[in-house]
Formats: sequence, structure tokens, C-alpha cells
Amino acid sequence: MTVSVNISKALLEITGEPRFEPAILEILKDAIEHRMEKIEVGLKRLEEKYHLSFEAFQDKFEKGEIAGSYGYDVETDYLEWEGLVSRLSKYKSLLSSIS
Amino acid sequence: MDAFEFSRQAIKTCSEYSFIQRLEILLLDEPVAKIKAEVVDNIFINIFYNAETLKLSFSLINGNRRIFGADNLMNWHMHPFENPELHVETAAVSLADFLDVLLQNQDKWRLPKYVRRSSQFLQTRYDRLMGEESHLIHAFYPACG
Repeated sequence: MTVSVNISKALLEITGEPRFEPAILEILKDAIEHRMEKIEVGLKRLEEKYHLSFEAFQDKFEKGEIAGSYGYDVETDYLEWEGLVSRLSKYKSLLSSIS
Repeated sequence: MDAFEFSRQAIKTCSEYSFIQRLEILLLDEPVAKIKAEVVDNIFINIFYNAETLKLSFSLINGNRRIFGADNLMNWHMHPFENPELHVETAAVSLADFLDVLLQNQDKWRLPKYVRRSSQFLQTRYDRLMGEESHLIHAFYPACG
């Protein structure tokens, strides 16, 4: 694999690691962790809005115990929340696969 | 089907409907895809897909209000034009099915050109009356102050 001088230099400056693969790995971990942090902010917002974990929300939703559950706002929150959980799970397994 | 492939197919499907003016991929982060299809003025379609749970949702939005929708939260259902807060069970709906319903029911969500023009004309008249000619209102309704 050929990497341009500019990229090699940027990798070295960011990570302090002269070897290519460990430097890329460090950048990759940083990127995954950054995305996980953003997802966790979204999860926290929804947990605070409903005072529930996603599992508890999902259970109540399926039992029809969430007010306005056929409304656009609640359905959108459901999809958004489930999507955040799916994405977080993906990033967790990606992180453990490269650690 | 992963979110990338879903998005690719959604773009292709949307391109076959002339009432869709513009597409924006709001999020493509496996397994989730969120796409916004702009229709006209304030009207757009929100498309959501989660490849892990196979959840699908299509919503026609006017401003920030859903005026028609279909999704498979729990089971497939529609939110009809007549009352989008209702939940009417239906068979599975593809994006093409959803867009076909919009195409066949344009009278329910899209003002025909002549009506739009007429509304704009009336609005202009109303604005003029409320602005330059507001004295007329006071002449007729002096109690308004």
C-alpha cells in the first residue's frame, strides 16, 4: 500500500506514531469513540425525555402504554432511538474487533 | 439488505417520480438510513430504514406535520390523509407503493396550480387590505381600535 507523504506526515503529527498501521488504528479508534459519544448524547436525550431505557420504552410502546403512540413524534422517537441502539451496538463490536 | 443498498434503491425509485424535486441523504450509518425527498415548497417525504430490525417508515410531511404515512412499527399500518393520527393496518408497503399512493392522491396533499395562484391572489389582496388599506377595517369595525 502506498501512502502519500502528506498523509504519513499528518498521521505522525496526530498520533506521534511513526509506524503506519498502529497510527491508522489509533485514528480509527478515535473516530469510533467520537461517533459513540455522539450516539450516547442522542440516547441520553431520549432517555431523559421519556424517563425510560429503550428496552422499557419499547415494552411500553408495544403494550400501548405510551401516550400518543400513533403520533408522528412518538413513532419518530421510537425509530430514532432504535437506530441509535443499533448503531451503538455496531460501533461497540467494531471497537472490540480492532482492539 | 443493508442501509447502503436500501439508499441506492431508494434513490433509483425516487428518480422515477417527477414530483420529487431533490433528495438528501440525512444519515447513512449502517444499519440506518434516513433520506429526505423534497417535493414542493414545505412538503417533503421522510424515509427511514433500519437494516438490523427491518423497520421501514415513509412519511409525507407538510411543515412539521405528518399528513400521510406508512410504517411497520409493530406491524404494517398507514396513517391516512383523512386523519394521520389514525393507525390503519395494511399489507407491507414498499417505497414505490407509497409514492404511487401519493401520485394517485395528489388532490389530497398538493394544491392544483390554479388554486395555488388563486390563494396567492387572495393573500395579496388580504395583505394590502391589512396594510395600506387598514383604515377600511377600522371604518367597518371601529371597536378594533
